[in-house]
Amino acid sequence: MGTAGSTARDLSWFRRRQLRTLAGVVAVVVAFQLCSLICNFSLGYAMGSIPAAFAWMFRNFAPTAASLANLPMVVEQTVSTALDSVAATVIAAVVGIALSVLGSSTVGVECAPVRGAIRAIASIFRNIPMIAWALLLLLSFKQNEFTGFLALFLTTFGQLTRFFLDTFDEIPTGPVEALRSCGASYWQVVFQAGLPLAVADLMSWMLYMVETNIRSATLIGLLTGTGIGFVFNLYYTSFRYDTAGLVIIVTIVFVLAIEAVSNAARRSMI
Amino acid sequence: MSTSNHLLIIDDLGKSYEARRRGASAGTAAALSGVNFTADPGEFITIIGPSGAGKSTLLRSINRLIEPTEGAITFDGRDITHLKSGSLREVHREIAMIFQNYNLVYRLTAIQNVLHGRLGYKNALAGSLGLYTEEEKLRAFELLDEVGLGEFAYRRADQLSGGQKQRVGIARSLMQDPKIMLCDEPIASLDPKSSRMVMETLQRLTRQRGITCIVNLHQVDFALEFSDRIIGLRAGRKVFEGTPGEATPAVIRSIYEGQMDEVVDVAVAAPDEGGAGIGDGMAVPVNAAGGAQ
Repeated sequence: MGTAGSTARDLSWFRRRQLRTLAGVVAVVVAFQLCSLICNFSLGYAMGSIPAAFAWMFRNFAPTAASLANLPMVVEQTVSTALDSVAATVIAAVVGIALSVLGSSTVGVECAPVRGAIRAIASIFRNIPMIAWALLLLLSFKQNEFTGFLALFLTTFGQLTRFFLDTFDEIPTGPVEALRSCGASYWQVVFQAGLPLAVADLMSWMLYMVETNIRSATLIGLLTGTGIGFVFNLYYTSFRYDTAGLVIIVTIVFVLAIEAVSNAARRSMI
Repeated sequence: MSTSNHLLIIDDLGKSYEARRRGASAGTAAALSGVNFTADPGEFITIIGPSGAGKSTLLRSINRLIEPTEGAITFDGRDITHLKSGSLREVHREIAMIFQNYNLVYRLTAIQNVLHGRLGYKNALAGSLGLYTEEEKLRAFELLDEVGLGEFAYRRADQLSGGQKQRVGIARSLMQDPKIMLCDEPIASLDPKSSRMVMETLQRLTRQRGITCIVNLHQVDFALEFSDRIIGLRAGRKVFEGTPGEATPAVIRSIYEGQMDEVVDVAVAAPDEGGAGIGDGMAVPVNAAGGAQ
């Protein structure tokens, strides 16, 4: 034991801490230089070429008067793709809500294996990438809109079930206990306490997935040969960049519009 | 003592939890043991005792939200200790409960929360969809009027103050037409003014209807003021039972701090502590000491 009022404190901890941070920064810089050297990458050159690349992009992808003739077709395909992904998301949400109610810790069934199974199913479907689903399904369902729909549905279902499980797990248990204590049955508790307490978050997650899926659906379309993705691919690979550019612009406008709508919907639900 | 017309008979009730820790002291931890008491129709009983004394466990064991591990509960002449969930549901609608955190479904309106009291009487579909009869809706409005919240019927529960939420909780309970009301720290989260209002509402409405009320309380002064009978709980055991008059400051202190053996001595030696609001300093013999029944 030190004497009373001893002021001899060990302050070297701070110095060691600073040295460690410094060592970390140096390590990152060295690693970057080493890797650049190995694969012949020059940061300066890459940066320098960015403006030129953008200039080329704007020159070539800018829609021309001729490409505007394709506008009705592009919009139609975008709408069809968007509706497809909304449908896939909503159906996935309905299935997801049903499963996550049963699997949740707050309003779930009193059977651990069932709850475990639901969690496992959600994990499996969520962790297989959407592109993998699309490629797998292409073999059996061929190139059509349903293949894209299924690929979207399966991934979204896994994703949403996972989010919904978390949402239901986090609802306050008090109201659930209160309804049980006054004699409410299982489904009454689910519908009168579980869903009202979770609904805002459920809808928020669903809208988020609608937004994400409209972007993903474009990519899926490239593979399944449907929707706006297919249109883009067609014009892109045949060097008709002006129409491909039009597709990109229309898609961006759509995604932004959907995002605005779903943000408004979220605000009205809080 | 009569035995047949008690509304509620708690007989040697105990709850122990399996000790999860492996090692030397593998065994069970008792949250509640050997608790006996009865409650008659229309009685207002408060349970006091320090935090962790088992008040909440006792209350939740009565309607079996917590499964007791020992003893028996007789409610309205029926042994409900081992009822299966179907019959338990019937019992649950006659035993209402009020909670410290109100436990309202805060995204629903006050009136919807009050109507939840009817769920036990409705079939699964009508209850799930919230299809109540006109009669039930009018009844819910009357009850909201009675707790002074008629104009807040369509206000969402999360927009109400704490005291208002608890009064919605009381209305929800009364909607059950219960024979007994279990109140778990109903005013622990409220300021003194709201606390008084909630306690008065609770007492008035249960007294009018002859409903038995069992209330866990931290506020000893409220217990002394409102109860017909007080039960003191410490470390899972009943250490006192008597009228507010019998709950002298010394008795109260012993419930919260001392050993029960010391109580009688303290009560005799220090007749006037004045701390808990009883000024007469009468040293009343403790009639239910140490679970010696």
